[in-house]
Amino acid sequence: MSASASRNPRNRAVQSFQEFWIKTSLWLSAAFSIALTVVILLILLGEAWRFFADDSITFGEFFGSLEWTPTVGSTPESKSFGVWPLVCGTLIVTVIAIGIAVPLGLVTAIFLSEYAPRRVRAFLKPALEILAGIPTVVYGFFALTFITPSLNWVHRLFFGERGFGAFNAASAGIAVGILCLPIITSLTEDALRAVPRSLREAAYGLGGTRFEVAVRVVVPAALSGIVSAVLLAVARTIGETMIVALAAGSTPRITADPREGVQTMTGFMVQIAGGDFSNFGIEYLSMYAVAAVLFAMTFALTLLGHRIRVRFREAYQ
Amino acid sequence: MKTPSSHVFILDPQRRAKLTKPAHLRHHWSVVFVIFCSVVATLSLVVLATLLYDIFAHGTGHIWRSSEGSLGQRFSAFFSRWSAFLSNPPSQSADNAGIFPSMLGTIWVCAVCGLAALPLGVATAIYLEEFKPKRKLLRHFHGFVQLNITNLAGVPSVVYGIIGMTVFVMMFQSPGDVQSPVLEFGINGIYDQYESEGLRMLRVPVESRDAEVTALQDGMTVYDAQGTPKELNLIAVGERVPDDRELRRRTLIAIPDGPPRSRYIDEAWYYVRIPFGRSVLAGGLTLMLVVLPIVIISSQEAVRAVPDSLREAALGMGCTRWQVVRKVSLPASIPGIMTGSILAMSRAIGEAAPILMIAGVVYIKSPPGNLMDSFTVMPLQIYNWASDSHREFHDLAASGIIVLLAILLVFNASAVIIRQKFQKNLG
Repeated sequence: MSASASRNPRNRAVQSFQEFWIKTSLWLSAAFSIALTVVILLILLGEAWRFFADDSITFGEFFGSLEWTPTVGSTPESKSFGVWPLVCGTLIVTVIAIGIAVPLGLVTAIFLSEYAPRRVRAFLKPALEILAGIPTVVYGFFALTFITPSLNWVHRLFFGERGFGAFNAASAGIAVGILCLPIITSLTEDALRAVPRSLREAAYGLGGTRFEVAVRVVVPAALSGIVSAVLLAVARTIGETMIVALAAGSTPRITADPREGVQTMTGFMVQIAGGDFSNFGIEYLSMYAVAAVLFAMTFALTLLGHRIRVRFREAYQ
Repeated sequence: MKTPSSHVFILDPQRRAKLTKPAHLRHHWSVVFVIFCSVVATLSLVVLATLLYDIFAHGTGHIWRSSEGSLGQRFSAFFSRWSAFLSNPPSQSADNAGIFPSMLGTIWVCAVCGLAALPLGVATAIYLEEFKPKRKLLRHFHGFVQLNITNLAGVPSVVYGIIGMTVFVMMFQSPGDVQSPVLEFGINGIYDQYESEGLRMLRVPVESRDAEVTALQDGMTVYDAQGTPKELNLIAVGERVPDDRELRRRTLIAIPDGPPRSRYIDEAWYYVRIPFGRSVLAGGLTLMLVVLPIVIISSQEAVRAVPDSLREAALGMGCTRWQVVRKVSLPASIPGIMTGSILAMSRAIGEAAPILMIAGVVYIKSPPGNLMDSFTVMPLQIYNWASDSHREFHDLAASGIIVLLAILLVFNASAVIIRQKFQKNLG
């Protein structure tokens, strides 16, 4: 078909027109993703600008005050917009989640890539894929109905009384950690598997044990991949919404006690958008300011993770 | 004899013991570490088992416990409760609440999401993989798009929710709202709706959304809920309501300010309006933003897996770039693209945060009838039940999770089957 088409000059003109048209539409769909980023930036910055343009809101208050009470009273003067309690809530959940997911994920990945027999792998990989595919609202439910009661049971065992509230940062953090475990494991395993066999064989040839080869040779060689996996997991944790909306509670407070309920940035956004408050008020605009902070944090982490992976990738071949 | 030049040998035994651990200790430590690793790795299996146990214990236990009688009776009660759960709307009482409207809501929203995200995502992937430009400026654009997609994949879904709310729901604070849209299309009729003495809906047609109330007159033509014309029987206050059932169903009492009424808009299935409001279309398009990066990245991987030799053969036979794509790389990568797309859709099915921003916490009794209807989806319904303070709604949430997980299982299994059945080795 193409041969006859190109022999006839008229058909060739039609063909090149078609080619041009298709190429343009493909280019447009690729440009859509750029337009999307621009729209995200414009909306977040524009609406956050409207928030800060309000007379009662100052930049210094937003980043300086330690009180986040956007729903108290009806006038802007009675409310306080200091973003730190929300950041603190996000931080405590993130620390717990990463503290669980990184060690477990790293060790699981080392096991999968270095030691696991094929038959064990055939069990473990699907289990991790299932864990990765479970919707986050299910983890939220799990945190609420299983993790919190279990934590209270353990607490009673040691201290003789229930210490965890119905909503607490610990259960949300543990659930988010479970959510991050498969992400860290699969990204780290990919990085470990990319380390060439020759390096391992050289280390074994020098008399290294299985532990020494894995920890002293393979892990350092794959370090850039591991670090970028952790950064991506942190970005995922910061943006996680449904688990913290269900299990962490809705009280913004600055605390280091994981037994207390906290509100994260995402939790606040869901609370406002969920329809508790009238639209277009100042607390509604504050949601965009919080979203801008959240976006800036995750964007920086994703970009950094990507850069580290590309920049410090050890090319062995 | 050992020659110092071939390798370093530490003669002093004390120094040697300090620098290197004894071999047997190193091997013990190594074995301990391998065992430790395998124990930790099994932990993910334990977590998965606990999670599933918790959900099934909550989701089926309450139904099983509440049924009585012999084993057979209990089984039949169990299954009738499950079928009621699948076909009922949510309700104030946990005993007959169901998940039906949100299941259909999920289907609607995911259909919109898939129809929007798949063409766009696959086209972008083809552009990035098959049309690598030679000119410098376009090459920069190419790299920029690639980096941008990596970043978009890392944007939290709740941020997409807030963007979707601004762009699709409110349309940048466009002047109209849901009650008085700027633009609308596909309205069958606008009516004033009354409830007759026989508890039937009677509808009186009016000109427009904000038209005056049409004065009721005895004998005028009104329509019932099915749209059949009827003759109105208007009676005075205090007059006896007729006993005849058929007559009572079209009887209204002429209260001075008019009987209580509501304005009813009869929307066709193709009804569209601007702004979209908290509608199925807005929800679907927002989910499209969430899954688009996933679709692009997985499609790119599928297209990249087609070996270059196939492309070069086609190019060598005089095919144009697009002909190569249409006849060679796209057919060869379709299984991979489908697998990736199904996995992206299963992500869309489970996504709750952006939908929560779009749909809000609402009580939806009936499934959506057109793209502009309000809606809820299964994860959101589960969230509503799970955040309820009453314990029996937690059990409902678990039942909903079982349904959701079953649907996801079907999706993922079909992705695996497609991958294994259609993926040929082209290398």
